[in-house]
Amino acid sequence: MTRRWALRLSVCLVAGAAALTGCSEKQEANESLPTTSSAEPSEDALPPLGPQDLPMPDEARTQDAAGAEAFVRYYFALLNKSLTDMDPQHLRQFAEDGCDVCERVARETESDAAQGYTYRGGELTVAGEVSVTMTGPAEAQSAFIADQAPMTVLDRTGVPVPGLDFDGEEALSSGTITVWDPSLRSWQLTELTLG
Amino acid sequence: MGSFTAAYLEQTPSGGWVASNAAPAEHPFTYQLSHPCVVDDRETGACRGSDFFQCPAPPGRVVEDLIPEQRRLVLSGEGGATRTIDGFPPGDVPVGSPVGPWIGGTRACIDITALNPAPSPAEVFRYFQTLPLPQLPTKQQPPGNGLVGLPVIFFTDGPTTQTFTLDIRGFTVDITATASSFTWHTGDGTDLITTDPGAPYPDHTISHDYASGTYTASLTTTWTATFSIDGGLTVPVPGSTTTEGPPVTFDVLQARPVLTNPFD
Repeated sequence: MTRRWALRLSVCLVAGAAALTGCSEKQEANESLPTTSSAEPSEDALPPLGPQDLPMPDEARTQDAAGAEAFVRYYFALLNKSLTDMDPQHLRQFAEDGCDVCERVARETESDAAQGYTYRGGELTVAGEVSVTMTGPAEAQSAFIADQAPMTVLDRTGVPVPGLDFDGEEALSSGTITVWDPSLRSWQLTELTLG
Repeated sequence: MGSFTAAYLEQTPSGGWVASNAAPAEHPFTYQLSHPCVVDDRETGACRGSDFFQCPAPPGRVVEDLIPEQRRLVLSGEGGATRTIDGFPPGDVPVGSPVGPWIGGTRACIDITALNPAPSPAEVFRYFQTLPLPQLPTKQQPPGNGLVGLPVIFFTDGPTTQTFTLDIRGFTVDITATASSFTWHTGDGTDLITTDPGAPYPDHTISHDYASGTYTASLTTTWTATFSIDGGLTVPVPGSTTTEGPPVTFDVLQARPVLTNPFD
């Protein structure tokens, strides 16, 4: 049991780390994105993607390195959000089947939510820049360093679950592979490497 | 058991793949090798039929069906700078550290002998098939000749459990073999299959009616096993093996009533 949890936790910590970056980014993105009331209707407007309170920014929807980088940061924001609301549906929406880390995070989050668990901490921050290289017309790879904050798993009453209190980690050499999905006009994760 | 790390992966002139931890200086990648079932299980929680493939392996070599992944390593560049093999940004990662994502490769049979992996279940099974398992004898009652109309009782009195301790490439492997099935060849064309070794009269469980004649009966014992490596988890050996016991030959006679003078 402990081993399973540890496995889950390490993944979720990673997820949480992404979230920290995402949280700070989330606010910035919301501020910069046009609101429904202020936006001018356009034939070229992209159909919205992602949760209503954290929509995918338009800059993440261009088929170039800048778009891939914005997408990676956005996915991290989604990871962070899932740590808070325990809802991984959008983690799956923007990850292909081959992204086993993405799926594992989603699956474990679902499992924990079903047990009434919540997470405290676990944030992961991108330290420095995200380097992105286009490795094909529709594929990009990124590299970045991530830090992982300590994480505690809480039960239904908000009490820490014994044995599920984890130290953070620093300087995790991380990376992603993303592919362009023309139907969604979005990038999709096929590989998420954390540490 | 499911994944290995390797510092070097190369293709031999014959086309095979060999993994090791002896990489040349400044080798640009590090490797991770996973069984297909592990990869599938990470995604779906289940293995697929196609996940199981037995790679041919020369004696003494460990060759397994694996999915390789490689990851760039940061290399030293000119003037104290850093680089990667293909120009991928090395970032602020020190020389020798991995950078960027794992990149999946093509599934292949890879020789991982140099990685000294723990014996796989399939490898243990190969050893299991060579163990000197008991050749259980066939015992019959009544001893000697049988009689038509009097069922012949079969049983065996040999050991039905045997333990072995093996050294497989430096790993201590404990195998516990159990006789799980018994096939009694009665000699008249009938095979009786049981899961118990039988017992002598009056606790017998296996018997057979014969017509008069001479018969040779024997016992085929099917063995299954469990194993553990270095005192770890006990798991089943994937497969069974059989032993043939020494046959016994006996006559089954037709008893004929004979009137005699009780006063003789």
